[in-house]
Amino acid sequence: MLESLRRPDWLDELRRLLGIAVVLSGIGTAVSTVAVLAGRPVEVTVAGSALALPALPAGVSAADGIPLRLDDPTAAQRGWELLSTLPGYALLTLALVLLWRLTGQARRGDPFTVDVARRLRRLGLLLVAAGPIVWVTEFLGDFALSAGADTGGVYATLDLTAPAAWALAGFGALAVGEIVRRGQAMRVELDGVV
Amino acid sequence: MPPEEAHRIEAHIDKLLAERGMTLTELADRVGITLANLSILKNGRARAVRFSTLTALCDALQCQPGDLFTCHPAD
Repeated sequence: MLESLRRPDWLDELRRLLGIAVVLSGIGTAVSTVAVLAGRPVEVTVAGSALALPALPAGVSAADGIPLRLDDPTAAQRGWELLSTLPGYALLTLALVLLWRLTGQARRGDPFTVDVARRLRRLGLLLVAAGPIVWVTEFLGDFALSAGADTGGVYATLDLTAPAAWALAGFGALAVGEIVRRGQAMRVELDGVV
Repeated sequence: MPPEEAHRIEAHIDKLLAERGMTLTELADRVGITLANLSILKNGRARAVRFSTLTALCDALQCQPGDLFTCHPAD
């Protein structure tokens, strides 16, 4: 029975998966952007200490960040909302597109080429360089959104997970690019072996 | 890996073939490599030779590796 199963071409499987991810990410980014611009309610986190909460039971207090919803956000708040979400989505979509094109090229021809190594290096550098920028930009967006809620308490956190994830993905792409580059150099060597 | 530089190895396949009255095509058949690869070796464009290829060449030409190649001194 096992023999009758199709032997998967993992490069092709990855390309299909990336294709789906590119479409979903693109649609998600576009829909989210349009919804925010159209005035969709915006969620904002504010400092709990600044809110006068109704009688809480003894031993219960407000957490540091309390999520609120701005039912009718102003143009500025919509802008801050976009700034706090769009850069991450845009970078993710761009990285997925680059990876999708790269796997397509590697699948059509030889994966161990100078061009594939160069594209992987470019992708890695993009993620390593743009990841922290996106991280700071989104933090500023969150901060401004929280400040603009006029509750008297601003709440925004610098979550280290996001830049770590971007850096890990970037260095991963750089490392794979280096593997491809060395494989290509080895191929050149082997081509001259009789 | 050694640095990329031009090698100074000369192959004497032409001379050995002439002495044995053998053609390059016949040698390629006996050794079991393509004529193209044998030409690359003959013309000094190969970057390396497998021991298995060298063994087959020595068998086919009834010679030793030293008869096949000369390393010229650096200028």
